[in-house]
Amino acid sequence: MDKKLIELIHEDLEGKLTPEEHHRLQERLTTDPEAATYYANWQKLGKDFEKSRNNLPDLQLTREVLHEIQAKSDRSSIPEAIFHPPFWQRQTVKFSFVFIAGLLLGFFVFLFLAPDIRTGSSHEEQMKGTLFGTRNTDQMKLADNLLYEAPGLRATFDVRYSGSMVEARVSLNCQSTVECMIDFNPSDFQPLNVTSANSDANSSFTASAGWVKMVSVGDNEYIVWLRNRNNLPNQIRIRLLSNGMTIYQNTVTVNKE
Amino acid sequence: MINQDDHTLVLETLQGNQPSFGILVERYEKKIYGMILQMTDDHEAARDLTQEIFLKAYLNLSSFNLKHRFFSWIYRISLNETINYLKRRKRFQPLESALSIPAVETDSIHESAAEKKIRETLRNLREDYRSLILLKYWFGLSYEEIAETLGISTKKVKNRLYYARLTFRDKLLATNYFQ
Repeated sequence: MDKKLIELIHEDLEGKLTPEEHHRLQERLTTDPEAATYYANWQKLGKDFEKSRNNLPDLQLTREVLHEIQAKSDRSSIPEAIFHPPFWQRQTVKFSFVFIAGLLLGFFVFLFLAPDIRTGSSHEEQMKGTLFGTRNTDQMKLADNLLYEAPGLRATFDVRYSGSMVEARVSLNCQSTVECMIDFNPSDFQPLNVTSANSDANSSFTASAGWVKMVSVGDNEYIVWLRNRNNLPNQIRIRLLSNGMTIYQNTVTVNKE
Repeated sequence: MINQDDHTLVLETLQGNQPSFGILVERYEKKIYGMILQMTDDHEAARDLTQEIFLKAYLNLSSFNLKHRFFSWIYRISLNETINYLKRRKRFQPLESALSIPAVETDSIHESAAEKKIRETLRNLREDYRSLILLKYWFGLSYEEIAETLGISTKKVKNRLYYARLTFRDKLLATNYFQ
């Protein structure tokens, strides 16, 4: 017997079939003895269940149940309807929402303050002085620190790097015009930016793919940023020229390790 | 007042009107008692359990969700309480046997051999099949109402009931019930 026929038999026994469907099923049962037996079996079962239901004695439990309820009620209060507030008005949801919002706020505040915490200096302190003094290079590795002194001329070069970033700080103190050249191989370095951090009208700078040139009279400070294209130990050459003559030169290697 | 629907009676009970709950007891006591009797074959236990179920229902009425139907809620409580009772009884049966305590039988009430066979067969059925057969043929619930009572889908009810019917009939055939 297939499942569909069994379903049909039960629907008929429950009186859910239309007269037409009922008639069709009865016709089918005359040709299918197995289905007919199944039908008769469940018909008998249904009748016996009904008979059992009708044979049950009257319990009349109402009085006993209400008496028990009364006894319980004397000991405790009657059940109160629990009011379920809408989701967003529930205390737990409100507290959870505030808690999560607090966590997020704390996280963003931490992110904002984190650099200061790491460097151990306050934001206010870093802002003092000029751009030359404000940039904190503590996290950059020192490539070399050079000093050249001659009568009427003092030059310092502080070259640092971090990853592919190279930063050269040039400080020139000279009574007459001095040119400072930073030369490098264009395939190794890419000039990113030159900033005259603290300079007067008598200074200037120019840059091309393979060099940066600073012309200075008086006290001037520059920051030169280069990108080490391959992160390999590459060299930059630093020169000082006066009246077209080289008076000092040195090389600095970055990304040494 | 008797014609009031279940939800109205539940709300009135929650407002402190105990007679309204009395009407609900009157309305369902016989069916629940009969169902427990089918499962336990013990009139005294069935009577006590029925009383306990209504008391429990009253005390937990505040947790009743008015979106559902009262009968599906009380039938579910009845099924769970009876299953728990049968588990407890099974645990203590060896002790009763040792003390030669005779089980309370249903002799006091007239019943046919056929009814006894149905009851015995039902008790030997799997727990879920037994619940389904009783909800369908004792309480006369529709597939949708059974699904609501058991908290499962209508499709699952239809599928499980199909196998429950086949198993139930096969077991009854073995007892010569149909002859």
